[in-house]
Amino acid sequence: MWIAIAVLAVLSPLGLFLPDYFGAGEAWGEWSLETVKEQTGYEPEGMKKDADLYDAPVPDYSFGEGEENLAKKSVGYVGSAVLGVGIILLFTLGAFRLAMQKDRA
Amino acid sequence: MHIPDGYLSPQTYLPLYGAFIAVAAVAVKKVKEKFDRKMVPFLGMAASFSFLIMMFNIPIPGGTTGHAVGAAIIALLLGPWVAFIAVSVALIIQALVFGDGGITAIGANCINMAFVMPFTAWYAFKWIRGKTVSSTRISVAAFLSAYISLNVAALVTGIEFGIQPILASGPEGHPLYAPYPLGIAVPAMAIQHLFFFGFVEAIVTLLIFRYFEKNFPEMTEALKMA
Repeated sequence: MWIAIAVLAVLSPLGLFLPDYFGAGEAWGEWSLETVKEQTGYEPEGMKKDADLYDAPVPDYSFGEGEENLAKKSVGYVGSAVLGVGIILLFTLGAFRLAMQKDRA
Repeated sequence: MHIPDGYLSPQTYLPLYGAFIAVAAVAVKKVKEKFDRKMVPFLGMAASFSFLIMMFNIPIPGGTTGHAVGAAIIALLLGPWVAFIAVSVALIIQALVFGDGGITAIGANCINMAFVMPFTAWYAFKWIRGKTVSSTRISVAAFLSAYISLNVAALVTGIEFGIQPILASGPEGHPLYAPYPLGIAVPAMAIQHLFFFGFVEAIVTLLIFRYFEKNFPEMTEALKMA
């Protein structure tokens, strides 16, 4: 079953290619501030204040620099998939260890 | 369905954070009660699966994108409380590391996709299945429970978006956060999930469910429910 997880990670760029191919934009309600401004004609004040509250280390599953085309984006996307799964597994294992220690103490 | 930062007012995201923490406390307690070492890899696998399936953005041609969440199949296989924990872990990592979903909205997103969704799937399955042992009806129950659960989660998310203009508007009447009222937000969220993403979740759920039903029926929580 771990193989299935690996296959999903490798295939994840389909999640980039298909929307690109069909010209689909951002998910409903997940627009950037600029898009909201275009759609409504104004920038909601609170949104402006909070939108950039937090800088994610790997924003939008992209490592940034040099990911200008889909092929390079895909590499970043698979990298993100692997990184995400890695963190999840470390976290799950860590939480489990911690819970075990607590129970023994 | 990942609500970003800036879309929800504090009046919305703070109570939802509170609700999330309360549910998390219950979930940890519930899962610990029946805890079994063998469950750790499954929990990790389930969280990984949910994380990955949400990366598969599926387009509505010329329109928006969406994705399955995987919460329904995880609930049917491991039970709704384990599903809550697994999907929450995936959502928290997505927010913290990848900026998918806001940090202020972690509570809201976890309530929508990790709580509302697996529990809806679980009880919908229970209700549709009834007392049958018919394999067809069980498959129908798996399919429909996934379809319904994603739609209920989308509806709740749509309501959270839609109440923002009521809760917080500026002096000129412009909403301070998510700009669209209920009359737009709810149908927008509902329609794309009713006609599209709900079926994706349902098909993914059915395929995986059939596989486990056939090969690992003893591991499938939903088959054990009374």
